[in-house]
Amino acid sequence: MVYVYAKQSKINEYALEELSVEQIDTTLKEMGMDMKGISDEKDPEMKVEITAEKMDMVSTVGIGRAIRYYRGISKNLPNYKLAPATNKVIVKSSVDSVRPKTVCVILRDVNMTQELLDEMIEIQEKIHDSFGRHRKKASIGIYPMDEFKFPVTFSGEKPEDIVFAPLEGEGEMNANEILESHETGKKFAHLLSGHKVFPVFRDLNNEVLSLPPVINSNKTGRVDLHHKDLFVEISGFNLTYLDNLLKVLTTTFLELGCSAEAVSVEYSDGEVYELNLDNSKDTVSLDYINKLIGINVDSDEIKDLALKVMLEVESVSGDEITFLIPPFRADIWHDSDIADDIARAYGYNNIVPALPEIATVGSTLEVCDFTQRLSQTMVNFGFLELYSYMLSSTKTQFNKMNFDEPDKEFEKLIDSEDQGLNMLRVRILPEILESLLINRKNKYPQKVFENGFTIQKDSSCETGAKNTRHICSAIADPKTNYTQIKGVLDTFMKLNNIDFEIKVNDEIPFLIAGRSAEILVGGKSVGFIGEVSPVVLNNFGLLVPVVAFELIVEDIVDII
Amino acid sequence: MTDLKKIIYSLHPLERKVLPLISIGDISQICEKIGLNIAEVTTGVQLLEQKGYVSISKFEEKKIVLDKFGEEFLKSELPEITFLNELLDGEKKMSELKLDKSLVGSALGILKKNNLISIRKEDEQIFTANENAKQFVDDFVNPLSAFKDGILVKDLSEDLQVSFNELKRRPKFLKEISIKGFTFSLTDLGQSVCSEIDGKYSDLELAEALEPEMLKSDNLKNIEFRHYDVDVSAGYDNIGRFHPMLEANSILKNVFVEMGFSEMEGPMVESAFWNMDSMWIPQDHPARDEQDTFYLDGSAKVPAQLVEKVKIMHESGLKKAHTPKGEWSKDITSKRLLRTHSTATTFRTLAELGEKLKGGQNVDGKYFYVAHNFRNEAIDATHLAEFFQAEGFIIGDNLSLAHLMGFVRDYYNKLGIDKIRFKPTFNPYTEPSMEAHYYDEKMDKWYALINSGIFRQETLEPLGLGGKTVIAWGMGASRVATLLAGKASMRDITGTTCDFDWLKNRPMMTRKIVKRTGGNE
Repeated sequence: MVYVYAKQSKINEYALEELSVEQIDTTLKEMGMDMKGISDEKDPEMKVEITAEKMDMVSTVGIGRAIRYYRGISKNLPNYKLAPATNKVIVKSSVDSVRPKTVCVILRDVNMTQELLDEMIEIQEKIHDSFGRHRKKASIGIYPMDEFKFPVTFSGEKPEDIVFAPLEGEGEMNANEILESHETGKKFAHLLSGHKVFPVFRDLNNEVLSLPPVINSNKTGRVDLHHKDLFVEISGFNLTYLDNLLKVLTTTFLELGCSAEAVSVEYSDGEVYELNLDNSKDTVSLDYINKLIGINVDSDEIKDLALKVMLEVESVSGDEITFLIPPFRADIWHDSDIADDIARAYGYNNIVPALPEIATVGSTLEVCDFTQRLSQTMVNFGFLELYSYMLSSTKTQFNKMNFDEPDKEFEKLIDSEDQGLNMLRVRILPEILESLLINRKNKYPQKVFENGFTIQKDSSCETGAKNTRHICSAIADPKTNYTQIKGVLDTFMKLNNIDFEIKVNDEIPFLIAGRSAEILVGGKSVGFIGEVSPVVLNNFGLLVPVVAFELIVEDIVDII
Repeated sequence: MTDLKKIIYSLHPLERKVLPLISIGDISQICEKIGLNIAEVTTGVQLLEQKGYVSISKFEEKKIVLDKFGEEFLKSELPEITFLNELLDGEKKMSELKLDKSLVGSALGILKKNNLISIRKEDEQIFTANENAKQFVDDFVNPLSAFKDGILVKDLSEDLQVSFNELKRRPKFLKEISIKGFTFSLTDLGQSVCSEIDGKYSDLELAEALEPEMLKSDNLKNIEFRHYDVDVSAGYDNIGRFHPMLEANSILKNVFVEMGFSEMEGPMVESAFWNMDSMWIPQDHPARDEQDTFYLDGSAKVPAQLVEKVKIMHESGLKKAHTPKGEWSKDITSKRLLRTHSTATTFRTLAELGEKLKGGQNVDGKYFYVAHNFRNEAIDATHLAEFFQAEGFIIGDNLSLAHLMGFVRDYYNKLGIDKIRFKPTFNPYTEPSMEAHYYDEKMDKWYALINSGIFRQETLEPLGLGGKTVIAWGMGASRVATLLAGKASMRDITGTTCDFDWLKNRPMMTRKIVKRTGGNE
């Protein structure tokens, strides 16, 4: 999600209407955007949420333009003029390994004011942070034409050879020094570090324009209010993506009253890129649109609807409709994108909900029913169901449970935002013991159970691990003992028709030797039962005896 | 039944015994009369007061009682008497006295004052009993004995006052304590009840409990029982219950089944292929970043043929691609991770249906999953690293946005929500994509619970389902559970920090989300 902060007066200036806050909000929602907040100033600033495909709307101008069409103020697609290229940028193959692509344009006759300059910087930063993926995927540079001479070259050079005075810096530095000590340099150093060469734009006189995606030269890359002609480049990796961004950026500046001139970008393989602001075309079946949306409009109605969402019907041939798509519409990949735009124009809330004629019989999975039955049994016994997280820690799962080292393989989390979590649980009892600690002030006896998932490593599985259900039940009470929990297990198994055997095991580190056992079903060990060791109780901070059993539900399902 | 009769039938046996004797006004006398101990009678009086038949007034009084030395010298004798007794056997030098030296001083003072002994001095003091001494010892009554049972200050006679003043000067002989007491009498209502008992119910016999023996009686019709306070408050603690999260999940599952959906299940440890790539999510999409996804070590096996088809779709699209040729990475697609959404399982199911379709089977149907998912986020009120999502999809021919709306509307209806509105949105793998908001009158606010859409053809084509339409929706089940449980924060109802007392005593869960919400967006 991208947020644009836009003044009501500015939106209205570009929407060409005096709209109330409510009208703006409603229109945004119908278009698929949202107003997430509003300041209480006289001319309120709105926090507008722009969805991730709408490159053309990440500016107040873009929002105003979309509203203008949606509300039917503009009746024709915009006709953006672009002067032919008179200047060129030469891309050297040396830059291929680090930041191979750039697309450029020149803005002419800019009537620069502080307001316009601020808006340009704002748009630039918005794009950097959203579609530019914090300059990784695309970064924008803007330069005053007065300060350098074409042709410009874009090449890869050794960092120590790139020497210039950066914006907001203290005199000349080389590129390594910039990444090490310049404020902005440090922030974006990770985008270049490790590369043998760094990208650099230079002019005819070999003067450095910038070190993309990091910083411009203070001499050639500082835009002032007296500058009328600006050179704009976007650098990155994917030419189509950069082209889309440049179209959005250029048309946005054209909306702000500038003129634009193409720049010819010559690649070393002979390919030449030049911006093209012509509308593109796509032909879609009307029947497809009607069926996908569940409406019934004819080709005349489609014309009006299309304009609301900045598309134009160029021609109709039977069921085939050819749409003109303006250059800034980077969000149209396929027919469904056009169909959805038509739906937005039609108004989602004007569509009549219906039910399809697919007759089906609902069903649940047998293993889920079985699991549910096991839980129901425990509830019938007066046990309280708990639900704790599967994300856990080696401390809780192993250390506190008196294991010198993990007794089984487990899934580690490589990089967790929550410092306490570093693995997926392999058994449930430790989590229950944590719950018992939290609830130590509540009345005893505490009879609880959890029927939930653990994750067990399993190399025979496609993804190397298996969701494995466990049911664990525990009693905490000053007077509880093995016999009590064994009684619960016996009855639990009997009620669920599960034949089982007890196999003495005095080696379970978290249970008291002589009061612990494995539970066998069909000869296979499927769990444990016993009194929790005082060492473990102490590790968890518990001052009350606990008895418990835990069963691997999956193993039982397979057997019975 | 008259009020008085009801009162009499409701009297506890203890109350019944004590009430007629209240006018005596003294606990110990009542005790004697009915042969109960003080505690029982006091309880009886208090119960009667609670019911308004007796009024109690409390008081506090000073009482003089023996202190530590007072007790001691009452049991033995006063030091001055011991002293005199020694002298009656003949004069004694100071060094010959058996009396504890620490007591000699005060004894000497009293004896001298009453002129009972003579003292002369040679190399040490020598004491001789005077003539009146023998008589004095014979007549002596220990003044402490008057205070043996304690005396209320207000009851002190003149004589006792004198002796009290004297004894008071001697350390730890006597002390004053406060005693709290109460007096009680019948209220007007209590008086009426008493009269009524006297007049009509003096012989009333009420059974306290129904004893099995009694059932053998041939007089069952005439047994009368004491009436209970049927409005008595009582508790019950031995409660076994389902957890609200899983109870809510069951509700959501039931709704799906009622609507004809079949359950799916899939692995929580997934490959990036099923979690993202199969959905035509670009490999540089921000949602794939580590701060959103838990990645795990190693690589997963991925279905080679399908991976090839998906790669082509990423690099070519149906009309337009989003990834340049040669840039889609098989290393990225086989990364292991904790699934971030149950749509991963939806796509596994769709792939199976694609195979069936190839085999000529009808694959139209409805599927659902209420499932665990994971996001690599710091945990707070509205963000859990681990949460439930309920997801359903319908596959068929010519399914539309209108159909999606129909199902979402009906799903909401089943949760008690009928005021809803739809809003277009964006998902990388659905187009159209739609949020469904509901209106909560209590909060006077719209909330979004359901996200939905129609799967892009780019996602279906590689699975062999090109031409089919799949409509799908999902909702945050953890949030639904929070709403249904009447809590504000998801953390209140999940994890090891949940309070057992609340889990036991929370109200029964209904399906109605609206009017019970207290949550935030």
